[in-house]
Amino acid sequence: MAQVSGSEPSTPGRVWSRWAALRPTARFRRQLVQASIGLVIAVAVISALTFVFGIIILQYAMGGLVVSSIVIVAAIGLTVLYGIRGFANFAYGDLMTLGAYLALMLSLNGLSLIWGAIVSFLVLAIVGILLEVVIFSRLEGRGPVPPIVASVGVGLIIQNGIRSVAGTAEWIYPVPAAQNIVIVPGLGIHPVTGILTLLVGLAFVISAHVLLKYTNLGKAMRATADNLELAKATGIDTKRVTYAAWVVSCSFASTAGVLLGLGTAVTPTMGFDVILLIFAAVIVGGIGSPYGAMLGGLLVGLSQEMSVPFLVWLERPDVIGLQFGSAYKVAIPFIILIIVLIFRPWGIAGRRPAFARRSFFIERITRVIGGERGAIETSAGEANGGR
Amino acid sequence: MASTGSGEVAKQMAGRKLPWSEIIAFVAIAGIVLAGVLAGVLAGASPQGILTNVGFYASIAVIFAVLALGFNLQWGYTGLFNAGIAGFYLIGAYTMAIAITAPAPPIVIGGIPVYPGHLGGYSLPLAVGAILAMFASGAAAAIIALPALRLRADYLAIATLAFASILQIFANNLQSVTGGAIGITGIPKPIEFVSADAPFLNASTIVGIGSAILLVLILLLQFMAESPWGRVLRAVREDEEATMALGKNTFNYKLQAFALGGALMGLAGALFAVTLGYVSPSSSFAPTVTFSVWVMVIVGGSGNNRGAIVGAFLIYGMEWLSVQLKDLVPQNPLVLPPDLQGFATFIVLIGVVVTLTGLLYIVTGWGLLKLRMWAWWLTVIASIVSIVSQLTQFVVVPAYGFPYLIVLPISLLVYFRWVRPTFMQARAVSASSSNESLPPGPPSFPKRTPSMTPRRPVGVTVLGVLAILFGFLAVPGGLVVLAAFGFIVRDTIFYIRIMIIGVLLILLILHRPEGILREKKRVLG
Repeated sequence: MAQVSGSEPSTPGRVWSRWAALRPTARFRRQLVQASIGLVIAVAVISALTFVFGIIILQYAMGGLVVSSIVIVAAIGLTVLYGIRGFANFAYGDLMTLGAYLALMLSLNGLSLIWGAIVSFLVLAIVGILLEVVIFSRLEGRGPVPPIVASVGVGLIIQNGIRSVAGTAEWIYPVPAAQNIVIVPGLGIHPVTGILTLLVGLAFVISAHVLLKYTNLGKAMRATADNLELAKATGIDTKRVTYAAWVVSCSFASTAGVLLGLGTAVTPTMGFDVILLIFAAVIVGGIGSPYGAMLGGLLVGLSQEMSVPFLVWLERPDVIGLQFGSAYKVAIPFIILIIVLIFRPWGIAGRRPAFARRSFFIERITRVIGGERGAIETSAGEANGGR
Repeated sequence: MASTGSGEVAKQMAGRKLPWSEIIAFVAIAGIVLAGVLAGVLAGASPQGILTNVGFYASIAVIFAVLALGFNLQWGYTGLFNAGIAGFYLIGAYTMAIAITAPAPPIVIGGIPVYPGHLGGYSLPLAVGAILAMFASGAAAAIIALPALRLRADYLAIATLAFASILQIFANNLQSVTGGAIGITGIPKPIEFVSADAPFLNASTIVGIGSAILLVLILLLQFMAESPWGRVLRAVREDEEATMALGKNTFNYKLQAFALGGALMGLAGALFAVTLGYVSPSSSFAPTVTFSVWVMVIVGGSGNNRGAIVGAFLIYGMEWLSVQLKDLVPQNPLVLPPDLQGFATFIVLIGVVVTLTGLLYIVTGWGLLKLRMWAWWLTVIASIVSIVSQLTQFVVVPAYGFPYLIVLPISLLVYFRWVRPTFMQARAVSASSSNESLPPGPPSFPKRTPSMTPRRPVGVTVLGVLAILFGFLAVPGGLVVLAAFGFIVRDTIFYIRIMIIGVLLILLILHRPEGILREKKRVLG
């Protein structure tokens, strides 16, 4: 491995130490440098914001991290399915709601919430396979729109089935009440909705990483997401991979739903209300890329929560006197989504398609200003988007 | 298109079968209206009220038809999938409301703001308001489509869905422009009536205006679809890269089609604002609107303007009927003997089974010839079950069971006239074909005599429509019974309706993506 990636040629006669095999590859070193630069920038931004807004921004950042961890769990599930089956699952939010309600039902009937979450995790996995077998396998090869329509139908059935069975009331999970743990005055974190959510999110990220990088199934999943035909030709059982993707996707949805219900309340529309956030995370990260989804989820969740002080500042009458400023925080992921669609439709971490130009719009605008016309507007690679 | 000369027309018509599916659709619409009227009569509404209700149905259905035409232009003709119909609808409605209302200053009573006021108060004429609404929605559609249009279809769907939900948040919170949760009230009517039957007159005015607009629109859209411009749109839908290779700037064509479709949705929103007399960020602009419009267009067959309009009347009819049926439910639950409780639940389950069977029939278009054995048994069970359910419903509450007395002989007639003969024929065909495969020897071309060619399963379609009608009556009827006895809340009727829309979406996209009211395949060029 080290020989393959070592940047300097191995001089003859030199004796490799036994730890040479563990030397990081060039790619990994590059990523490490990028990550540390990103970390430094993030820390700098946060400290600058703390300087401007005070300690409260750290509280919002903490809230953003919690939201991000939920979004990341959901976005990994969505993007795995998106990459392998090639369609946007609009029922994903409602699958989250279903998972939350299953856990709620079990925990109201005497089980602890943890067992409820585990059972709902397993049940949702079966639901995912059933969805593929009954509906979505028949829509293969018919383009992106028919599966979207069918998934919206699934979502409507789940949402309104829950409404007619469980009513529209808000439910709260039966968890022991706890006080915020105060780190410094003005900055605290709740042990259940904060720390537990963060830990579960981290555990899911790590397990997704292990699954994708260190197992044969994960390798097959990445290959299938990359190129279905080639994966088939190399002898990968893509049918099995598809089922695995549904299992991963739906069970992650269940856990994300339970976490979401822990943070707020369990309502029939809780999943549909956050679907925009999750789609933004998936597209910002690059469709089909779980690592991109993690990055996108972090970006989207943090920016949504940390925009609140700014929006509250806008509420002041001497600024523009906006009413209910913090309600608009939901628009922030949308703005990020549009910016990414304009400048980098294949996502932050996604791979750039072969013929894509760096920024379509800037090129177009300069061409219009320059008066040059008649060139072909879109290339084949761009017409296929970020894939 | 059609050449002149009556002889030519007669020759064209000679070989053509009657458009059964459309006839059935019109019968179904009439059935929905009749059922609604019946529900009104049973609920004890005045004739005036019932007429107003029917007028309301027609006016909102016309609005949905305009929405469906806009979506059909985007998806059916050009293949651009819009998941934010409700957003463009909202823009149209609010633009119209802001443009044509009188000024409304904020109201503060005792230091407490009661009404935040809203932007506008320009008191413009209605037509100007409608044009502004179209312009605003079209511009919004163009802007939102600009980044997403060059990408795959699902990017556009996600971007528009996000746009619609953001718009609803803005409508709710941007009080200085939209009036907040209260919305904008006091939108002037086209003609102000002062007499006692003003609601009915208002509804009929709107129906008149809406129908005129609809007529103009459908003529215009048909003309546009047949023009070179429309041909390019269809070429883009079929194969964008080939169209590009032929030297067409597909991006511009797509942008035009999307913006025009958005403008039509804005027009629908303007009509809606005038019809209701107020706009508020309520369920009128919820994502469910978008999904209903999808169903309307898919039922009619995407790319089929007539079908979109018929679909709008059918699907909105379902919604309207569920509202009418909800009014039948008494506010205070009746007391039911315990042994009848299970009975009532049973009825609802049966209704669901019958509806689903009907949907399966009409949507899959399976002739009985193509049915497997289990499906045949499903038919038998569903038929028996439907008859039983009708009888039980009649026993439990005679008034609710009344429609079934009419439906029962019809179902028997359908069974003996179409279902059974078709099945016998199917058995004969399968028997003969199995015989044909038996004898060994040199392979020969299978002989297909005219008697063996499968009959067009008109009966199945009729059966399917009737089953759906039963279902429309049996499900809500059973739900009304259940709600009357306090088992479920009244709103469950609505949830079941939306679930049926979901089932329709899945079944249609799986089995009849070209729609129930099929258009003849057109050749490009």
